Amino acid sequence: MSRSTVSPSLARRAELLAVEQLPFFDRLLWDSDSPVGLVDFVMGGRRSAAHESVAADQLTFWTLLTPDSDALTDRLVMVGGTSVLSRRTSSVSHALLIEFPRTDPFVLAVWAAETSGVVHLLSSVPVSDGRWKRVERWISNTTAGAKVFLSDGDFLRIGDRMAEFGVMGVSKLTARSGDGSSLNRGFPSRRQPSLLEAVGMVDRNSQLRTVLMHVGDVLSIHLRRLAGATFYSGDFSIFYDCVLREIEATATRQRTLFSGRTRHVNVPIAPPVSITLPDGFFGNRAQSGEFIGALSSISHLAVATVHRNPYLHLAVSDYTDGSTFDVFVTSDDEVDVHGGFTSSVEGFARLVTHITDLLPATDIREKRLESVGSLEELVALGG
Amino acid sequence: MESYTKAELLRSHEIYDDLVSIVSAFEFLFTEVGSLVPTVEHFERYPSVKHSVDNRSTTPDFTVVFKDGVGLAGEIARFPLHENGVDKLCSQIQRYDTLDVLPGATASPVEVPQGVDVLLIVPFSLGTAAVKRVLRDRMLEDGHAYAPGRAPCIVQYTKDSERYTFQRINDPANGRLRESNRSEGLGAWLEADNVPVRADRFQQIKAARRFGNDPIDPLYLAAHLWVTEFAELSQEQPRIGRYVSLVVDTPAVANRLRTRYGKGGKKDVDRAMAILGAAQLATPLGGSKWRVAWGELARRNQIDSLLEVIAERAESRPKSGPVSAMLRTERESREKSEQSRLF
Repeated sequence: MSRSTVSPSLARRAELLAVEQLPFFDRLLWDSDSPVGLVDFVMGGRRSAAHESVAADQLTFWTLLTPDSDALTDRLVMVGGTSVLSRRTSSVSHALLIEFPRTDPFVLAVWAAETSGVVHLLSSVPVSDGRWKRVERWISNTTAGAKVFLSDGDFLRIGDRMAEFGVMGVSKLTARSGDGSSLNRGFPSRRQPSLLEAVGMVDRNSQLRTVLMHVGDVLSIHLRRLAGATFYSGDFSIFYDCVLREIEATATRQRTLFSGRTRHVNVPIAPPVSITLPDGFFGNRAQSGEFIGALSSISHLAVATVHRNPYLHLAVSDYTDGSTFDVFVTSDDEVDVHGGFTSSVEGFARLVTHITDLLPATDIREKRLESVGSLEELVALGG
Repeated sequence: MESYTKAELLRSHEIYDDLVSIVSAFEFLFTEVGSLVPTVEHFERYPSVKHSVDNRSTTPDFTVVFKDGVGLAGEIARFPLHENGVDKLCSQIQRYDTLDVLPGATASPVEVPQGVDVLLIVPFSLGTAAVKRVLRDRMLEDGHAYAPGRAPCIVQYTKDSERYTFQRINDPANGRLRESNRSEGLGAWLEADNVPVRADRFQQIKAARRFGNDPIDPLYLAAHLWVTEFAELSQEQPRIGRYVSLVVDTPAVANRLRTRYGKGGKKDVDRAMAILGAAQLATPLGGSKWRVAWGELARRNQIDSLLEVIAERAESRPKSGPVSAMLRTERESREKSEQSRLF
């Protein structure tokens, strides 16, 4: 008998059974119904765990842009289907009780960040766990939320904030090259580089993807390019201030960056959002071809080449919400994205994060269009 | 029924898009370069003016009205091999030469008391041929029908990895732009140096205005409709299986294009819809209406974008595709609902 056809009493029994099997922190998440801040909630939970001599769980966070956390939760319930056994709502969060076949149940919380339009997904399931991977696919399949890109500058800023509390070292990093190959490097505890040194170890055509960072016993975290972070151990309030709040600030900046770029009739078009790449990345025609192919292979994007030489111009739309864009590559180290007549903030964020995921992007920002004073200047600048 | 070949469709698309890019580059020069802007009264991207001689519409690729009373008509041309084609081009630019009004800022024509200079823009590979075939073989030939009041200024262009570069062909027969009464003139720079325009200078203009003044290339418009206009129109429409069923009326689509981009006629849309029809992505409903089966399209080659997919499908005219899949799903669903009513 499938879950969709079980009687309400059997469904209730399955839910109770799953709740009984939840790890310590997930159980707290599920049972929590009082309006409490994230720091108080986690620190209270860790104190309870210590009191009951239970090992404290690691906590996985994933920050998303969403106009409506209720709608995001509804979409997750819909995409999750029968794997979502139940849901609960408090004033600050939604909690989903999830169980995939032949795996342990767990709780996924959708926790509203302090700034509106931003939420943190929260779970004790590690990012390497197959269950988390399925949650990632749910997010990719829903239009209600969009990922956030952390630039090299965001990584370094978080590292600097952590370094306020002691000597900060990197024990592991992963990077991905423009050709898709990966780099994994581990460092023994006596020779851990700073984050700045670690970033410098990644060659210019590769993109730093994740870092495992520590500040003595004060904090141990994993930071990921698409705005994810794991709190392993230490003082959660420092993690909250130095990592989550910084990610939240980046998410808010990106929401602002992607806002107001919808085109309107007879109104001057807003400048594009520019994705920075290593110098010379788009050095040849083959690179453009690979980029078109990779972008076209993303199932919810429609991509048509408008121009391929001397520059690249693509018309792109998002099948899921009808957002439309013009994508230009006019120099070898930048991709520019212009909003169309219907470009939602989330659609914009989805396209930009897809591009940052395909290419070794280091930053995103509004393109600064420099004015040209004279033809002499234009000629001197080479155009 | 028109037949298509993928290679020809893509070639024609490329030529049209070059035209759009070059017009965008000149729009940038005349509307954004600080020293040229004060000399310009109006740049028109989609000019159409009635000629005083025969009251017929004349449509250069762009026009400029300068504050010193001189006008400019720009024509971007790929040279035809046959002589008739060159005669046609010459007769076209001769009409520009005798224009006494050009479009002004308020959409109504304004007088250009000093007359109109003609700027003929050709690919580098055709520059020398243009001088020979337009200027020497025709303009300088006694008794030839092509006898403009002023020689056209022929400019050639090249493209490299990031920019278009324009240059006046240095030939005594080649015309010059009249700009002695201006603080800055493009013609002097085209004569003295190469004038490069990087694509990032005009990308915003091109993204906003999208089309050129020639009839819109059918594949160019078909891809634009599919990726941009139909993507938006499909959001509120019913999904039948994998595809969204979208009914469009070509005059309404043309009107939408004109409102948004300033260009687009029913004939342009009809030609684009014919390509989508051949590609099994749309089917005619009679009159000017079409039904589109809009949704994700399969790609055969890893680096093919939808442009190539549409061109390939238009060439092969597949018997089945999104339209037949949508109609089949619709029929099955209707039969199922009729059956359930019977029982």
